[in-house]
Amino acid sequence: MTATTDTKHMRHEQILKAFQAALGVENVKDNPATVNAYFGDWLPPKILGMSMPPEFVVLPNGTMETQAVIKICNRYKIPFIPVGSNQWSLTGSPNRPHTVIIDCKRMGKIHEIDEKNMYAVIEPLCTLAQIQAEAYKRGLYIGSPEASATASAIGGHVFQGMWGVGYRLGVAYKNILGIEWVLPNGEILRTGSFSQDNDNGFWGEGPGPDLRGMLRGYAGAMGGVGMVTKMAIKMHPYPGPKVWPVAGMIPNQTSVLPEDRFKWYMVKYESLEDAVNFMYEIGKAEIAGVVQKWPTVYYIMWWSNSCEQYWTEWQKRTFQDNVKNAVGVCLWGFSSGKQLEYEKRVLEDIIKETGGKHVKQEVQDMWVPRQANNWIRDTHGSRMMRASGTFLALRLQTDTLKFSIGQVKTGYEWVNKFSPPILDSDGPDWIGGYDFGHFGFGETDFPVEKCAEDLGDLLGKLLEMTKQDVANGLENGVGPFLGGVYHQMAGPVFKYDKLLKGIKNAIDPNRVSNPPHQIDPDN
Amino acid sequence: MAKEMLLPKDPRYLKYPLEGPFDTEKARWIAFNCSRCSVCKWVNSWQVKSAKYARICPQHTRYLYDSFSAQGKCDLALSIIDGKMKWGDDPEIKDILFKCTMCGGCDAMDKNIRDAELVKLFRWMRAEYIKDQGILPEQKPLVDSLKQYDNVWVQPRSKRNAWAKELKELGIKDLNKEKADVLLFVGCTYGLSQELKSTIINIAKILKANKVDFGILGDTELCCGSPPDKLGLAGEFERLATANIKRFNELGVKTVVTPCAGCYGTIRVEYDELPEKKNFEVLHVAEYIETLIKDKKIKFKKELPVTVTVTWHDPCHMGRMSRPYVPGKDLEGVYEEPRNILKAIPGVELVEMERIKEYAWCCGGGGGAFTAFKDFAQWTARERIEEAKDTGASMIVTSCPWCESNLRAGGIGMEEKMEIKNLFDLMTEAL
Amino acid sequence: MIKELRDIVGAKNVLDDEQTLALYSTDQTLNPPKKPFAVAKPKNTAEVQELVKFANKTLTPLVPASSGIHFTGGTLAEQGGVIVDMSGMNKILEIDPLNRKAKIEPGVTWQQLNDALKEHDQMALNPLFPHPKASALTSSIERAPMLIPKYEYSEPALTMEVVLPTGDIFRTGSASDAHCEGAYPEGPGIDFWRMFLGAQGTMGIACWLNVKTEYRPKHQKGFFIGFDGLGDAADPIYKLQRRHVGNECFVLNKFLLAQLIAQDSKEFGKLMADLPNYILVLILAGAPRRPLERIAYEEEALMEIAADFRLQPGKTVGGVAGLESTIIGKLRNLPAGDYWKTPSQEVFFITTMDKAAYYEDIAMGYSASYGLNLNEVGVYMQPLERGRACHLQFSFPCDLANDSEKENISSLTAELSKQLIDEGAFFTRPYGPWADLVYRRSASYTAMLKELKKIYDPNGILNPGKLCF
Repeated sequence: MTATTDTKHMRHEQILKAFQAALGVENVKDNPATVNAYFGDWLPPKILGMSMPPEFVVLPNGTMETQAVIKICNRYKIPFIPVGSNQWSLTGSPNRPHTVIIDCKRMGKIHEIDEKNMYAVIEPLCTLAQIQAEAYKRGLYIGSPEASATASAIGGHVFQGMWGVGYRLGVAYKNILGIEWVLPNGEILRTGSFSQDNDNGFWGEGPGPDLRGMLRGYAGAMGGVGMVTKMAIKMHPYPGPKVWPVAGMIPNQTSVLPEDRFKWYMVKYESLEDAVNFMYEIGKAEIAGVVQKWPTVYYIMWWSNSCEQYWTEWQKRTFQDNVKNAVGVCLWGFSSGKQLEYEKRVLEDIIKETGGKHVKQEVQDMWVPRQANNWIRDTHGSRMMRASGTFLALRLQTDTLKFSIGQVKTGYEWVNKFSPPILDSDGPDWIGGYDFGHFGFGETDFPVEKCAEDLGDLLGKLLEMTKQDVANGLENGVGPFLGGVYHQMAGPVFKYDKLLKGIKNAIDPNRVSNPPHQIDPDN
Repeated sequence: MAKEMLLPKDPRYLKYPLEGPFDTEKARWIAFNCSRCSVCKWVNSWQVKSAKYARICPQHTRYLYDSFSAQGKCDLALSIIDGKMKWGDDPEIKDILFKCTMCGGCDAMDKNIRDAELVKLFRWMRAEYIKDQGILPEQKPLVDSLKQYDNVWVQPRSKRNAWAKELKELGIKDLNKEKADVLLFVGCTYGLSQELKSTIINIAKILKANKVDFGILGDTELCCGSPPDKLGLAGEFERLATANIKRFNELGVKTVVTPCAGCYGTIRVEYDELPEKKNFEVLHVAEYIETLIKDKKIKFKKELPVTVTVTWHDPCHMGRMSRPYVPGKDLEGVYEEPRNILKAIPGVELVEMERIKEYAWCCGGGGGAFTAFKDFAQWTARERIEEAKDTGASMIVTSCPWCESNLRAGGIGMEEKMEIKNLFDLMTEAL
Repeated sequence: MIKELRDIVGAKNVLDDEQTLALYSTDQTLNPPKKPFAVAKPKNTAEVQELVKFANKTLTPLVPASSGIHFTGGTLAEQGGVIVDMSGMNKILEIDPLNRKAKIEPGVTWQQLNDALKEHDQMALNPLFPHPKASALTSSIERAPMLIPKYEYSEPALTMEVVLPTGDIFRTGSASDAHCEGAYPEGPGIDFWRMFLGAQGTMGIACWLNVKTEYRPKHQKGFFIGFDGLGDAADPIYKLQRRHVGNECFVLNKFLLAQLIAQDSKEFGKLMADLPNYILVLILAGAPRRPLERIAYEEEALMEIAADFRLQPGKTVGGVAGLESTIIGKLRNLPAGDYWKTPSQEVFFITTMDKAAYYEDIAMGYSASYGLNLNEVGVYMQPLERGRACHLQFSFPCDLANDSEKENISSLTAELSKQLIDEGAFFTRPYGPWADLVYRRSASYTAMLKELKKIYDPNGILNPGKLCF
């Protein structure tokens, strides 16, 4: 060993012992076989060599041990990345040496479910599917995004969370109540009613200015603001069964919710503008639980059960010819069956007035029982990877429904420009309606061949596109999901760089919380 | 002119490469396309009925780190194949590969969202590991036993199927000398265990009573090859499997029926990987007997002395691991048949656990864990017993000797006891 | 400095005469007077920005104020300085019926907004019968509770333009992108908009705000249910909210309801005699389409729930004639003129409905011990977000011209607030003396807020002395 490696080794041992003292020997690992499992991810960063194994993986069992870990990281000025389910690991892969992964595998408790006041207090490992199952038993509901209910519930709430039923019940950022949170400097921050009593997380605001604002924006903080170790989340009224209905076997399961309280419609239009107009009318009428205009690729991605089936059906154009500009609407009879009947009548009125046509019944029969309910309880989100190994998204934008139209159309230009390795996607425009149509979300999703040689080139081009967008004063886009890299360029344009750098500097003086996220205060 | 459709260049995305040997290329394909979605760790979301019973992978649930999961193993495979790691780099690699019951829970959940064969990948990894690092010391007794006795229990050949000698009056055919339509393939465990022999005796009696034309191979029966197959001892598996296929073909039996889930899954599925082709159908005894009940050939004469609430544990190799993989096809298995048998038994009330059928929690006894990693195997069993208790049942019924043995072993020392019973022992009580 | 202010906003928009300063030194609370040295009335964002720059240059505190009347203490100049009175910035900049939002300046009142929205068949999401001079912008960003719990996505505040304490102009959410329509609050970067809410003007001066608006129903039916005790109302409301029944839903005790509808003291006396102790007001509103059908199924659900609790919802309670039309009339056409509440001091906080009766007992206990007539204590319970929580408010009559009454009520509210906080009531809007009570219990939150304040307002010029600053 050289003097340098000797020092490195000593330092490693010192840090290792510190973690072991804090957590117990079995809850700290640094061996090659362990760290090797923590730098893969969905996107190409790993295969393009942009990520590396962590130095340590640690498993704290709650807030206090998490605090100890983060304080140790501060003492030695080593970066850490908190991970929940680490599903897809968007920014959970270390991008610099000596990183510590704080894995929440010992933090899966559901502390409390208050059925009457409709909230649950959970830890980071608790998945959306777990809390959903407990919610249903109590006549309650929480949503899951298309990334699937296997994701951490806390992760889902701090990342994005544009779930289908957010149309009526609010999307993720609105569902966060009290938070218990270890900041990057090792201090424990409790927000909302937790600030007064850390056993009482029922309310999320304040006190006074609301520090939940620091936790996320349009996208999450990518691990750049420390680790949330406990969160109270809202649950909502639900007129559905106590056990999620499923028939059939993997991979051909179907799910049909009781017809006296739920009804799916698929209605198509000649143009995207007409489809969006339909979505507006539904919102204005204050009906429905889910209102989504999915891109054709979503249909095939969710529906197909094998690669062969995907590409065969795609080439037959079953979905392309039948669901273009179609809107999926799920009516929920919250009050009673009579509400459902009322909403059906109203929806039929709207369909007639707006010139909508029901999607061919055989296509509805193909799609609805198999996949529509993924917009209520997702389980197939990861099917997006099947047909080509990965998918990408761009032009995410949330503003009005109308605005989404322009956004997704500019998305087509880019998709056409970079095909291949972007594969056939036939107008990949996803527009979701939220808050009874008060706002809309648009995104362009498409399959990309994961093993394509020019994938790295594509990523570079997408980054260039993002830079150009920012230079043109176009916010959102896929940018926020790039985390620090994006905020560095967008901050000065949209005038938040000083504030964000100030906040990051205040809470992360040693730059240890997954740098360069959320932003690099030193650049 | 219509724009040409842009399809993937790599044909493996157009159609999963089912054919051909499972080699490094295939292993890499599966590992590379792991997107870290984590479905391999959890029960399929639609099937999760409570927070408590939401996990599918015993290894990951027990050992917590992601390295101990299908995703972790994919990462490991990729690193090894790409030359970034070697098998001997870390002693924990052994635990990652072998402290796994090979139950296929991850495999089944993964098949819901992509085309892949995870358990085959793990078998390949185990085989590669053994080639590089040698047989595990924990597995050595089993390996030696196979070589010496053609069974996994270190028992001389002469003791195999000795139970049949006690039933001379039944007149069970010896297929070494006679012909029959059906071969009752007993398996190492039922064939050699004193504790479990009542089960095979009861099965033989049921078949005989219903005039099924069957026979056994007695002490010339060889291990089906399932243990070496799961442990990565490819050579031993091929030897035994090839010998068995040839032998069964020569016997001219139409059907091979077995009471052991491990034997069932192996003979039905893994044997198809070999060049030697089967000329017979493979059924689990439950499938066979359920038909007899449906055809009203078996009638229950009495109720059980006390009404008993039972829950059925789905053995992995009778369930999700018991059919050849066809991308997009249902993960079928022998699920309904044992349930129908239970429902037919007077005095039995069947209640279901939350994790059943293709998303069942493993008993913990498979993949070599039962003998080599008892703590882990029995921990897994205790998780299952807890789940069974929560149904209100007083008995777990199953039909696999590994499941029965491991569940019993895991239950020792638990405060509240749960009876573990074989399906056919229970059935016999009502005949 | 007065000259500099005049250069910024114009001479007639700077007031520093004693009478004016005296007016701005106090408000409707019992907080001691705090005299500013001037009042400046900007007309637009640019002038606000110049005022902020001036404040930084001269280290002069600025205290933003938008309403024509103040009930919280938030606009008192704790450390002197200049009141930035934005009530003159009273334009409704845009009404967007398609996306159901309106862009308002700080001086826009609820009445003004509601009247403007009428022609678009829209209505504002106002709190309970706000004072005619109350700023809609301020109410929204100060998180005053809405009346309609069914809009689960509460938070009517969308995007805003803020002059930061540094003098920079910042737009929140999708308003940061000039191409967008300002409908989405998140971002840019992080959820900065949250940090301006509940901030009492300490983190920035909001110059316009996009607020959600909703359909103004053309058909509605009012139902009233009487209860003996506040606690009796909780379970029925939980059920009603779980089944998505109704629009406006709130509980007033008879004192407050009588104040709201009585024309004179004689009528007031009769109402106090006739009304039940607590009254649930539930309005079933028709939607834009098939309005009567919606009312019909909601009414059926209401009656089912009422039957479970052996209640009888009716068009009135206590035999009060015309109660339904009176209440609906006031809801749809916000009362102008004299404010409906007697001079009073309020204590309000967030809790869950199953605890409301418990807190009410505490409040009444203190009221009794301070010699108040319990019939004159107001109680208002506003279910929030489908009943997952509620805003609970007690009001104690207090004549601001009567010093001994003031002293009595001041002591009462101080002690009561402390007790309530100790018992788990969450004062999410910590005005005046509540701030110390709340922030001393939350060391980490307080420390972080102070850090944030240093970042936003390095010179500490915006409304110093408020909250924990």
